[in-house]
Amino acid sequence: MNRVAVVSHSTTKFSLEDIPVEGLLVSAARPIFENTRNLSQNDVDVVLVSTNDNKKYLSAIVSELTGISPKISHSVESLCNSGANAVISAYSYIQAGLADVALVVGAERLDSPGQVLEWDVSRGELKHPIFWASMFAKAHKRKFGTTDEQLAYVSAKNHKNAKDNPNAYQPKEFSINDVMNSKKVTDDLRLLDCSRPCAGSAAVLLASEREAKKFSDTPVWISGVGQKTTSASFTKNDLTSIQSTVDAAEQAYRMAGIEPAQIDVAEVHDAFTICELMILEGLGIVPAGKAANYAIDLYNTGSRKINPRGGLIGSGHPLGATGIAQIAEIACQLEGGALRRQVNSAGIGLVHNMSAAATSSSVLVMNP
Amino acid sequence: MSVFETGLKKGRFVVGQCSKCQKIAWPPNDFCSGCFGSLLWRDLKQPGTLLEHSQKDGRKFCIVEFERAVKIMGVLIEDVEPTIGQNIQLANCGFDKSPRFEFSVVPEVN
Ligand SMILES: [Zn+2]
Repeated sequence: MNRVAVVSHSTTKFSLEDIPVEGLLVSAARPIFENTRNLSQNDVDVVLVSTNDNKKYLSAIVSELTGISPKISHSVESLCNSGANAVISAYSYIQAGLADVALVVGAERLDSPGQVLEWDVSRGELKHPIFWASMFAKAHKRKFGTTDEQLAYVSAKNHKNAKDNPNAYQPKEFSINDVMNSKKVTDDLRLLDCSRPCAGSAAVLLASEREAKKFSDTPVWISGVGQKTTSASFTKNDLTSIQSTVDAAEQAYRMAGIEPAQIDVAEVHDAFTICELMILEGLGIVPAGKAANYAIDLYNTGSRKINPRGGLIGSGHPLGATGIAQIAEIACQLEGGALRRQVNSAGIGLVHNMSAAATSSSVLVMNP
Repeated sequence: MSVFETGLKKGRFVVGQCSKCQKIAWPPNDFCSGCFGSLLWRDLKQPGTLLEHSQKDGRKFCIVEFERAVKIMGVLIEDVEPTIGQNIQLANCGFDKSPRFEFSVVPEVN
């Protein structure tokens, strides 16, 4: 089997700036060429773009603006999960032998059309993500006794981690009290329980085993991949577990030959604090109902194992860039280059990216 | 415009039931997603049961399940503290850019 590695990555500063999506995309692609040894435009066989932006033909535009004439070039859109999906698509081209080197670039503007899934009529007029997230939160509280204070630890932890992430939208520490005293958006979630949309971009360069060492002494291999879409309607979900995550994780672990207990560092899709708890349970990192106390332990011990760059809550959530920024962070951790965010002796990393009220999930297992 | 949307605009919640396998097509569809059979459209059977609820700006919102197939989110129009599993009625529905569902509690009969 052709192994595939992440050999370079970049993330731009997340912001609220009004930048055209083409500009966001190339600002993540340019550092890949500036910072990767031996890389020229002629090496790149694949250019994929991850975004929910309505503009067309963006992968060809990015290719032209960066001087690449790729064999394979197209966009990938699947709401918040676009980034991981695009990387898995590029992985598949290389793994299948159709390409050796792939550039995957993700970006989103602040005014992204991807924040609401109009199609889902089962949500009625309650389209904003806060409604489904509140249903998850209330159901988790009811089943497992999860408290608002426990949720607050997730937010405080991720904001604290983001303080050492120079690309986070607004790196700032918040205490448990700050989170608990933030505006109550619904009975079950506060303002600081939510990630916030922003503008931003990220890119990764993937290479086949044959080419990887040309570009990096520290390639990070993608050793497990899993994806699952259960439906497109929020209300079809069970309210206390995320089936798409359970299924995607099982595939990825089987492929990588690992158990969840072996994971040293993970970026997970904490669109809301409650999501992080349900994801950690779905990934099997903790048993069902135990993630809340686990998050408190992580906070109290200063562990950066879960969401070292601050996750979506700490960093901001530019939809099409998020999955790629997560993969860039785990690659950085496994290279040992995460500076103040570095998790010591990280050997196995995981990325979890999901979409549309948890109806689809992608999981990647990575190792040096 | 879909049969479902047309129904909502008249204040009626209609569901398509498969003429071959009897499965209810939810979300609304042009055919059965189980066996690709044709649908017969009819009114939703009341009441449903409450699955979960929360509150935003003093307005209670909830998920209600009808006929063990149709789960929808909407607003509870009464100022009561509902309980999970309670019988809930779709009191009003409509369509203006997006569907609108309003629920009320079914009074207990002794
Ligand atoms: Zn059928």
